[in-house]
Amino acid sequence: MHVYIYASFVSDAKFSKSISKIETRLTDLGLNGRIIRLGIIKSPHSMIEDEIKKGAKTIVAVGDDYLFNQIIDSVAKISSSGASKNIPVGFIPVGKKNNIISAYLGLKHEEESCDTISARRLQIFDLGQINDTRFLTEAKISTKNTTIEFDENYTIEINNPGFISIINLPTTTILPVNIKANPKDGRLELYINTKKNINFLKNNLIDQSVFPFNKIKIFNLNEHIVVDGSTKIKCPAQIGISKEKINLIIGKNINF
Amino acid sequence: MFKNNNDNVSKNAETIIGPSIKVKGNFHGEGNIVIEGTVEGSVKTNSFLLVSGKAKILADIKAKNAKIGGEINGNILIEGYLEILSTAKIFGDIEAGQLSIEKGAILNGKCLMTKNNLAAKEEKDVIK
Repeated sequence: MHVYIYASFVSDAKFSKSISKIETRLTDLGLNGRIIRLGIIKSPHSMIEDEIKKGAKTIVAVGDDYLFNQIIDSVAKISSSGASKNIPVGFIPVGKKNNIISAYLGLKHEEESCDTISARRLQIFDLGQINDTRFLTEAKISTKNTTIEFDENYTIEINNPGFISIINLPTTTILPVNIKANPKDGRLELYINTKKNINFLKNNLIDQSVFPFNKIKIFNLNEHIVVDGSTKIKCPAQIGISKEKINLIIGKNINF
Repeated sequence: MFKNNNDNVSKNAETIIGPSIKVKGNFHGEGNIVIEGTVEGSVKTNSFLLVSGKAKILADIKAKNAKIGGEINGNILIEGYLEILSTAKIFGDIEAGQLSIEKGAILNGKCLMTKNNLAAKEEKDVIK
């Protein structure tokens, strides 16, 4: 049975047409299932756990990247507890705000993505883990007052302003030519992009650094780390590859 | 010129330490490493190490092959080929299988060719 988790914002009147089209298309495809509508404060974790116990075969996020991240995190945690492994997770993106991840998984918007759920092309991806939260794509923080400790062997200090990305599946970060982050290689990449002010009138010089790693700690007293473009995590944060993987329904022609 | 020479190395690099980065501690990698920033501690890789002209290293270095154009305060141990560029300033001993030093480079330290490689070279010459 499919279980559809609706983000709280999709109950807004401006999405009623989209939701209605999605539900009609799912019915046409014979993919009807149980619908769970989240409230603003509700976390989907306990509900997903219940549905998996009741025999759910597929969990589908209907909403934005924030909801998709919550569902991935919950399904990974549930599989780590041994309740169930490799339950497929699908995603039907609704609305244009905070919906970046879908494009990198070959998913179309709203009712068009129902066909992808029906085609059920599955691929298993690594997940990053930051403290107790799993993430699929990237985690980001400013370089300001940030120090990073690698595997307790060495630390790095960053002298110019910029940003730091911890990458599993690259979405918003453009890596230097020939450096590829692969969400199936069992490791993460740390990417640092800084700008040095050479001359106010001329272009700033961009400098880039890349470190593949297994485990790092990030320290920053003031800034949060933003995970999958939506969830904020406090520092100090320990980051590494999660033991659990995620089984995702993806679009056509997506290969890593 | 330095940049052009090293394009291929940069393209195959697994780790890049940019100019604004300072690394403190034991930096051990497995793939090719490009250092453009500062490193204090030790540097070790089983592959290629490129130290760019503006890099500053206060560390002992161990690598399979290396091309050095920056400033190094520490000993260098290279299993294969060590290429020292004209911009390099090295304050420490070096040990390498094969060595080339460009005109203008500064080297203050002992220089030793690794015995195993010398023996291998002599063996090759005999075979020829």
